[in-house]
Amino acid sequence: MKKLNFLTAFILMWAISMPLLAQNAESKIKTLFVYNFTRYIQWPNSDGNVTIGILGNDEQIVAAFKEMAAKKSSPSSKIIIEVFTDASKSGKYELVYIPESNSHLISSVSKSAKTVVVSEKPGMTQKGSDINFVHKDGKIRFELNKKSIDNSQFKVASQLVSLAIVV
Amino acid sequence: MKNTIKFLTAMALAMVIIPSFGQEEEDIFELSLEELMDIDIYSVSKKAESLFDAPLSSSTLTKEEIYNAGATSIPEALRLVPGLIVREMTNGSYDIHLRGFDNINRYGDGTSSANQITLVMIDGRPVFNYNLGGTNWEALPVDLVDVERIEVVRGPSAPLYGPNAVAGVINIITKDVDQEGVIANANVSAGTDNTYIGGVRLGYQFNEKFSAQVSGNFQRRDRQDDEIFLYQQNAYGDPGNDNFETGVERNGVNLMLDYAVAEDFNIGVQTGLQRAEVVKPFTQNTTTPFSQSVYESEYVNLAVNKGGLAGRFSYTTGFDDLNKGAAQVLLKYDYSIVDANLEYNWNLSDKISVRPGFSYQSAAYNNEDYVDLSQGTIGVFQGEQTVENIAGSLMADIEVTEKLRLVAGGRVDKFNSPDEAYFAYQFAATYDINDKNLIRAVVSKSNSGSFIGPNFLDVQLPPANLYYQGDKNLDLFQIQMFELGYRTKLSNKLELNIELFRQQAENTNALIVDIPQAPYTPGGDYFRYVNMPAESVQNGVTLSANYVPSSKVQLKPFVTFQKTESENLASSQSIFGLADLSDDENDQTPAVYGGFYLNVKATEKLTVNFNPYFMSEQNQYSFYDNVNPATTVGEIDSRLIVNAKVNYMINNHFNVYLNGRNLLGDEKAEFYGTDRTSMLLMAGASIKF
Repeated sequence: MKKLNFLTAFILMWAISMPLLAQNAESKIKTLFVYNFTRYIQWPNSDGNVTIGILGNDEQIVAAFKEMAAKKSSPSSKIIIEVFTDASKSGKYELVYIPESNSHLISSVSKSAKTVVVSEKPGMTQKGSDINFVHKDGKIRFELNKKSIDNSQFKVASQLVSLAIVV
Repeated sequence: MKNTIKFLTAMALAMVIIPSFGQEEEDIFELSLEELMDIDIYSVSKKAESLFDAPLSSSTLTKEEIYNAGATSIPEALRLVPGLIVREMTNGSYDIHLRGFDNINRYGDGTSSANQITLVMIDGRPVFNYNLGGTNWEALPVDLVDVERIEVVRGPSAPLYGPNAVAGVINIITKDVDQEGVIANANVSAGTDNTYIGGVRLGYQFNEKFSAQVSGNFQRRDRQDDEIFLYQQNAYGDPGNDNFETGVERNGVNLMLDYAVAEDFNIGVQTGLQRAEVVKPFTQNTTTPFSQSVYESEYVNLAVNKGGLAGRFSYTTGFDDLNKGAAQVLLKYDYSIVDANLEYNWNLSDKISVRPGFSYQSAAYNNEDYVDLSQGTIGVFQGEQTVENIAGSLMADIEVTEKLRLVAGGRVDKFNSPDEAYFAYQFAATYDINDKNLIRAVVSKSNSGSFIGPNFLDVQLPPANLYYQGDKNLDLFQIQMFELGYRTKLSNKLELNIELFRQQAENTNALIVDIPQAPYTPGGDYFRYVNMPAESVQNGVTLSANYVPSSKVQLKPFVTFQKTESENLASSQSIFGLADLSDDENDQTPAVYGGFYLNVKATEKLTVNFNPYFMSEQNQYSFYDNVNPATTVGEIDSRLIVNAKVNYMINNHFNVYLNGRNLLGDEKAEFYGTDRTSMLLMAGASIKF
């Protein structure tokens, strides 16, 4: 019976000591992808800072982005996170992130040629997104919309293209 | 029991303390884009997937975890993996068992208690001793400098990996050249007991298609015990010579080339060589459990992946001398191993894939250069002997519904000796209750391969009254397993994994003493291999968790509780022992074992790691218990081994560290009659460009 007591104690310890803060790990990983994208994309007349606009208030995504920005900003290149709901104002951001829950808003996004649109739902590149997260074999992958990028004013480094699924 | 309480208390303390650390970010924040894209593992069902969704019990140990923990060798790093029993036998030499089934028949020599039932691979290439079974860890050509990650699959897995994946699989995955231009990394350390460990790796990516890397590793470690267990005195005493001063001395060099012919067509070639000399219990020795072994080998491995087709061919040639300095050569031989397999991953639809495979293996062992019966030099077999097998396998992976996935596999191996075919199977199902909870079940059966020694042992010397015989018709050892698993993401910071398993093992074999038949007479040696009647049943549970409260802290605790009962256990490895059978607990496998990995980034530059490992008390056995029933050398106390490392990052390229192993400094043996190992303190530096 002693073994059982240890077992119970073991499980109890875990259960008691763990704060159950619910945040989605996948969102977090995607924000890091986005951070890496910003390093491989060159915007025209950039001052080194990147302002990311999150379309629609998806709390989980916003929290993940803010955490990423807090950690990854440096004095010379700040990452600024803003939440906006008026899709027609997308042009003021270097990068616009459309959470899956707000994917339907893509049709109203009016982006400028210097805004990178990142989404996370299959089929979004066909609807005009520049970079779109997909799942492949249990891993996160991203599609790159060659046509829209070729027509834009920002430059995408070849290293990023080499890792992407070019569509 | 005291140590069990200490261990659990330490674990509890760690968990209570940890949540009070900062909450800023996850460890994943340090990953590059390539690393983010590659979080998944491959071994588990030979299909890329996340560890959480894997149908089998599996764990992955990353190079970062190994570095942070301060593991000094690949086998020591396995103390960080759930389900592994890792005993240090001398400074740098380890006995490793996966879930146990140690030494079922009890009364053999060091060979019988070694793990012969876990398949060890480097990048999918088996590194296995086909003479007696098992892996000589010191004889691996690669060392930690080469390791990207280590994947461990617990439970019978022969349908995926071939025979010898009976208790499970340990697959060591080496690093790729992952950036353009030159890469370099090195890690060197020195410490007490004349311990020197180092590894250097240089790589160059010529262009997007072609890269090459070369690496070298060395270890030199003195034993920590001035004395040695002497059978005659039933106590530790002066070894009487200095043959046993150095515990481990090993060197390896590797060259790896990678050529991406096209997007879905890749060719990799690896080649290397190694030499090792080690003190470890292996062959029977009338003075002490220890022998000195020498291992030398060279290998070449070619791996080709095109579309769904994966082919691998490897050739290994080498030399072993398992009892250096002994009057008789017995186990001194050359060997060459050919291992080839071809698999095709065929996606019938998005939901169904099948993977047919074909394998061939031949292991030839030859001692004719070392044995000359006319001169009185005896080897355990005469000339060249070969074990060979041809196998066909088929795996199917079916997504029945969005939530239910079935994986079924079978493999038939046809051996030359025994001249029989063996069928191994594996059925696994996973059910996603939701995206945070998964249950799974596995039923599987696997058998060992066939080994040279038990088949071809052949010493017949009537003038010396010596007779040793193998048996080409021995049934192969097998384990059948039922397993239930549950994985849950309690939060994005905490994942919990529970494995409940029941395993049944049978068809062990042993070299037994028989009644001499003419012309042999009593008083000499008269031994032959037989299948033993013992059957063992193991019930157990492994609990493990991964808790990342912040970017600064990671905790991975794990523990296994198990009980193994043996039936029809012979009272000795003799014809008389076989007539005196009883049932008993296999208490050679500890009832509780586990540990935790706690990594704390105290500041931007300073990282502290704490990784204790625990095993409860065990009773280990050998032939010596029959010779001297009064001996207590096999009574192994519970052991709490506390390891810690403090690393200081000078800049992005340069780190220095202090590393302490077995900090409690208990000088106790962890294995039958081997060294009472003590504290090891090391200082080192690592460079990465």
